[in-house]
Amino acid sequence: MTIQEHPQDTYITLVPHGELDANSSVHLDERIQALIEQGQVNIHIDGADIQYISSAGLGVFVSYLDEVAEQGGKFVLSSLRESVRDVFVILGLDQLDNLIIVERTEDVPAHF
Amino acid sequence: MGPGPVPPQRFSPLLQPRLINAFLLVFALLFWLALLGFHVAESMFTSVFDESVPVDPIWVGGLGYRLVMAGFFVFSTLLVGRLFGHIEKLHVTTVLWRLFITGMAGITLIMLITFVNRATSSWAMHKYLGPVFFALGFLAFTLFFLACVFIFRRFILYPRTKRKIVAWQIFFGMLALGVAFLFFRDGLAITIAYFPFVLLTLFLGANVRWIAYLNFNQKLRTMGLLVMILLVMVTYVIAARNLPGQLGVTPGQSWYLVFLVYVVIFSLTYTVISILVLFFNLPTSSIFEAESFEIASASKISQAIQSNLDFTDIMNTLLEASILAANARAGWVEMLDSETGKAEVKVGKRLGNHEVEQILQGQDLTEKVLRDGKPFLVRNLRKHRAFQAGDTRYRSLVVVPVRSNNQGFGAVFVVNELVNAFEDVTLKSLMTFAEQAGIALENARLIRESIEVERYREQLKIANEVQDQLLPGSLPGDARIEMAAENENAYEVGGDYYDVVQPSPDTYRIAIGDVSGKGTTAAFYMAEIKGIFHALALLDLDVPDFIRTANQALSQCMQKGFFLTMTYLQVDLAQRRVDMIRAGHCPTFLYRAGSREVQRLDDGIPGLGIVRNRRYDQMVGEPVRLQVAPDDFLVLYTDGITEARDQAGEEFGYDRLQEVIFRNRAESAAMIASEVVSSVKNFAHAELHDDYTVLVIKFLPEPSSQASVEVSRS
Repeated sequence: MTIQEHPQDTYITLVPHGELDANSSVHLDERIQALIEQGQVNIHIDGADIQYISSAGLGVFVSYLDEVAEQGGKFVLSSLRESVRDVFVILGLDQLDNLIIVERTEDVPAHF
Repeated sequence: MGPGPVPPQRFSPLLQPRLINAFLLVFALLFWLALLGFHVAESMFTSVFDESVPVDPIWVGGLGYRLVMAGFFVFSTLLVGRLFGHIEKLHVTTVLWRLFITGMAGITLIMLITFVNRATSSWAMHKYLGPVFFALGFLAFTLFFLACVFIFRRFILYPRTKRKIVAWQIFFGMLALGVAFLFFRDGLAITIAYFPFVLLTLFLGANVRWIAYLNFNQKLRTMGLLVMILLVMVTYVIAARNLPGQLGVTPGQSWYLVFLVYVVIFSLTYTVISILVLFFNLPTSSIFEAESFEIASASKISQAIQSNLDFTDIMNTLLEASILAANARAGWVEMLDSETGKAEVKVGKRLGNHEVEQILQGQDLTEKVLRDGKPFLVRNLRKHRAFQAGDTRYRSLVVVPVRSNNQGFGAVFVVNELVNAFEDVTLKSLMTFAEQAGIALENARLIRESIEVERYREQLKIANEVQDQLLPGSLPGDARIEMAAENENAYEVGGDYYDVVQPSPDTYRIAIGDVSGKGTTAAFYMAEIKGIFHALALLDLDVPDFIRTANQALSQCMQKGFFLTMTYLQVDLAQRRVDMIRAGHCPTFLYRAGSREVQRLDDGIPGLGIVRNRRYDQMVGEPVRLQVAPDDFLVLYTDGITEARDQAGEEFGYDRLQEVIFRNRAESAAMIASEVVSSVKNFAHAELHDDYTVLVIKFLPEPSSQASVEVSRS
């Protein structure tokens, strides 16, 4: 799993490549934790290249939801492939205020 | 007197050797007394002043005299062989000291005799005591040289080899020949026999391996003792220069003495050879000493490898050996801390942390030598750029890495006040020690780890047993409802949970859930979840309130990052109604017997513990309300089923699950559950890597309507 990082004006974009399972999600976890420690709590995940996500991969987002919300930030996920999106939806993560799933990357700035 | 093993002892093992010694002593003494008798008789019956030698001697020199002499030689050899031939552990200086004392005692005796002999002018005294004095001197002479032979034999047989033992058998054969010459007075044969004897003596004399095992001091002392013993030998020989005359031997009749001459030649030769070898070996002894010390230390460390799990013991052994081998003043061992990875002084000898600080001035040499993989040597700390600022009395420093093949452990440091105190040879032995210690530490670490793993496994086993008890052993049911579950944990402790309570005859409350989050500790929340489920399920909460309360409870007790997906349902059999809320859990499948279709019930809210505030209460809306008919059934499961992957990495997924459910729609709840599991296993072609649970709830026809179905079928 590789993760690219593209800072934007009001948020930061992470582009994870590959599968987010119990092992590989550790990298994403570390990256997000580092961002939050730096005070960067507006995090955009460009999910176009996430091929798969397991419940452990979801755990990464869940574990930072509160922290991000407390500091007034949020996660915005875009361009998720259907199978990945389904996983988020089944856990009910599409119903949250501080985790927003959008179809297209162009829609992302409007949410920050 | 062979070196063979002691014969089997049928009697008291303590007594018998002593009995043999006593027997030999008595016979040797008897022969000696007989010898003395001959001399006294000679003295009494022949004139001392008569210089002519009888053609056919009757007393001294006669056949009887020679027989007695032979007996004396044989028995005293056997006796001395028994007394001196079985030294178990060769302690060179002690043995030689005893030999010297024995020799000195004999010399004192001889000198006393000589003194008394000269002091007395009485003729009678000479006539009667003279033979006695002579015989005593002869006894001392014989026994001393025999003792030399047997003690040197022990030296030569260090270590024993077959060839040396054969040489000794020949040697004793020659001694026997020496005795035999008493009776075969052939001057030519005697002269010829000296050649093989001298060769044999030289061959045996070349065996001085014992010298190599002495250190410098021992060599000096041994040399001194041997020189003194040599002086004693010479004294004996000088004192015995009159012996042939006294034994009644004329020149050309020296065959009497062949035995003694053999013994003397051998003893003198071996003593001289030993002294010379010792002398020329003195300068090399320090090298050998260092090497043998190294061997001893290496084996000491090796022993620590096999027996010791204690890091500190291994480090102490290493430090001690290194200081001694390097002839260093002081030293210490630094080890990398297992957590921080920083080098720390663990053991020190003859210097404190403050001095270490003065020498190193904050430099991490452990890291350096571990990285370089070779020792680091400073010949003069004062002149070295990196160290000259330090205020220390030490001048030389060696740092040697301690590592195994896999891992660096630390380094051993030794210092000396002298400039350039450590040689390359020293470095080599220090590296040998460090290598051994590295292996020892590696072994200790591996053993520790395996103990740790074993303990961990034991704990998991206990956790597994506890968890098994957390899941229901059997599920309730009656004529109207049938429930079955299949559950397996991929590891010892899983995170899947399901449970059923029946608060009233018509009501069942059922939950299936899966704890997610970082690490395996998720599984340990199961007990809490069970507690919450049982507490809340017995209250008359409706389904939404159950979920709200459970979320509050779990938000309190679950660590951040953990969450529980759960589907909770309440079955009301009287009204054939099911209320259900899916909180982040896998969607339930419902088979409708009426329409013969499988539905996936997707409606749901986030899992428990994800939103840990009142906002969640608002998200919990009305439950999904199902009106169920006979032969309808629900399939609840965990993600271990749908996320099971085949070798290509493809997931089992919802479609396959739906298909399996449909195919088995006519089966019992238990059969449906087990069919689901076996199709997942077939799909994955192997053991599943995740925990899985399948729970099937099937509604049965009323007894009356079942009868009507049977009627209609027939």
